[in-house]
Amino acid sequence: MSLRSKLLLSYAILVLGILAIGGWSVYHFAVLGRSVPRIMADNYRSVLDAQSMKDALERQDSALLFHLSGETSKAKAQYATNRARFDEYFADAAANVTEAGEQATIRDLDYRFREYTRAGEAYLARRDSGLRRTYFTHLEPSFLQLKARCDDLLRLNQDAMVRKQSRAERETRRATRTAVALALVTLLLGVVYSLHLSHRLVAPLVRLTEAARRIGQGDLDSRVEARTGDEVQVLAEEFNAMAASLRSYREREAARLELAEQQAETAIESLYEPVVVTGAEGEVLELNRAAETLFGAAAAARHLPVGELGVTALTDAVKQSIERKAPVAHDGARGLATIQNGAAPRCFRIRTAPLLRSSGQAAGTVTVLEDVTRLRELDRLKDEFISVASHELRTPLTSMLLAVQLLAEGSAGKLTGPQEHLVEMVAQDTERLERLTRDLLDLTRLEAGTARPDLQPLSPAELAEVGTAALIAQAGKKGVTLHTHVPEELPPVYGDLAQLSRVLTNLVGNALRHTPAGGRVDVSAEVAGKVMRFHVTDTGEGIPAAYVPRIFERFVQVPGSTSGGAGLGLPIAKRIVEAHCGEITVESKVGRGSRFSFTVPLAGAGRGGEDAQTDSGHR
Amino acid sequence: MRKRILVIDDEEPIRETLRLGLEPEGYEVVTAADGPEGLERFADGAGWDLVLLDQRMPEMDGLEVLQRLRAANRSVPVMLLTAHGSIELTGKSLASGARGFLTKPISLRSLREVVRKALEPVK
Repeated sequence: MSLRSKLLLSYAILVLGILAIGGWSVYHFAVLGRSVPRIMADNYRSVLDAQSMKDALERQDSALLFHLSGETSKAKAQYATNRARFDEYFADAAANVTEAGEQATIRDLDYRFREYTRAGEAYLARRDSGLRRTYFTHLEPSFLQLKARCDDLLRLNQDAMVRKQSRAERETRRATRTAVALALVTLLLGVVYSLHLSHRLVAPLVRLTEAARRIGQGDLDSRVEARTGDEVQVLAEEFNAMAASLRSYREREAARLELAEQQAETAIESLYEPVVVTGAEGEVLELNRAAETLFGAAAAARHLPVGELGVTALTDAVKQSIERKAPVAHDGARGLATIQNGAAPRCFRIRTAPLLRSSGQAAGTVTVLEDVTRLRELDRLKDEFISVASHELRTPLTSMLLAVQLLAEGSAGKLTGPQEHLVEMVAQDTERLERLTRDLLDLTRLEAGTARPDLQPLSPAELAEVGTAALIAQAGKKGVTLHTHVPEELPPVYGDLAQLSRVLTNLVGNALRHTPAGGRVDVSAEVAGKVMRFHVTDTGEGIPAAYVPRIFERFVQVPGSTSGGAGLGLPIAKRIVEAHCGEITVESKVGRGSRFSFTVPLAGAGRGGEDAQTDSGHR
Repeated sequence: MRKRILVIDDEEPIRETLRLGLEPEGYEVVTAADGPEGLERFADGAGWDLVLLDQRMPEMDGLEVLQRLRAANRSVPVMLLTAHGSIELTGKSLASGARGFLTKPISLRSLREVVRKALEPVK
């Protein structure tokens, strides 16, 4: 049964009860109201009749006395009138017998009145002296007896009236009590039923509320029993279905999460590199096996601050990563940490990535410590090899260079035309070989940081002049316009004249090599904030986009381009600029030309130069 | 009178090319193949105007030879031949009395120029 029907039914029961009581009361009081006056009216009429009969008797008695005093005609008239009146009232009273004993009285009254009338009429017809005696011996006693009978009738009805009055009052009181009792019973029933109904309606809702609260607290096994057969049961069923699907959803999610966790854990565990996972406060949450070997298992078990691991670079990287909400992976020495564990110290490159919530807040970090000990050793061996090899090459180069130059100048005898040509070629390639070994050595030393810049305030104009001086002739020979526009008024920069002029020489030399005759190469400089920015712009062949990112690496040559360099000029330039805390960039368009730019700190810029010193000192 | 130059270098091609490069300039060039021989030649008695000394040699390196040369004679200018100079080496060499450096490899023109300057009387 639906909730609506239940409510309607409960109201219907109450309404019916009230209607029943109301109807019963209305009927009862109506009956009472109607019966009492009618009954009373009957008695009242009898009383009036008795009274009137007494009155008529009095008048007849008076008429009889008139006859005694000689007023015979008046007496006869009065007697006839009142005898008729008596008959009239008597008939009425006889027709209205209501009380026990009334009938007997009526009959007696009737009999006696007829006797009285006969005697009276006989008396009125006489005219003798015996009248007086007749009146007092017969008529007056009959009259008094009749009057007494009328009084009997009167009393009888009066008593009846009083009796009926009190009975009606009793009945009214009883009816009132019954009505009140019925009303109370109905009220009680209504209240009880309402309480019962509301309890039955509300109880499942309360259970639903409790179940909803339990589900909210995570107890998805909560179910609601409601066999009420109404909307509440439907609601409870829907609710249970919802809880069930929530539960299966959570189970699926939990399974998925567990799988993801296992995957992540397995991945981290299987890494040979030590991995350190921290929380947002930098506390160590997890170490993989490799990291435990390195740091011991205690740190993760006790959630120690990452600083307790005793690796400054790691502590800094974690802190920075949380603060910046960005990965931290420093190049060079800043990103390296040497950790002594067991026999030999090992060198690690530290890469830290933040774990970000969807809100963007950092929830922690993951740090991978890549063991670069071997790489570093290989790097050192490679540098050493290049250094030694170049070094060893330079001694034979010395004699070759001198010998070929002696040949060329004719010190060893005059050369024939073809001989001279051959010697010239050997001389050129020997010089090129010499430049190559020098560049290799320089680059090795720059990378190793042993060639520290000797920082001085420098005039950009002087720098440009020194850097391009050796190339003016070459430009002229090739038919390329070399234009230097670096005004004297520019503020001084802070750098090493020899090194920075070499950057310009390398860039301009490069530009000249890759610019065909008729093109132009421009050298310019401008102040950009706290740095001076130099530009070397050419109208040459340009660099294909694919090579741009690698153009500053060693030995990178664009295939098919006008060659001539060994591919070391740009790496050397980059190292020198970086050692000066500057940056070097290139924009290029194939067929249109390239523009190399690099920055050098201004002499007044404060810390720039010191940084350069400190940085190279690190290496 | 011809200026006399002593070249001490363990590499024969260097010795020979230096000699061939400087002789046409009118100098008398004597060569020695190692430190002891160089010191011996130096002690021959004849006056020397310039010594070109290889920095890196087996047995006795250039710095030691330089110190011994200085012990015998304080005034003769000595130039060190180095493959690639370093600040440290420069400091030590100058402290030991070297006049200057020739960084290998060197072109004929720079060689002659450096030698000519080294032989100019000190003002």
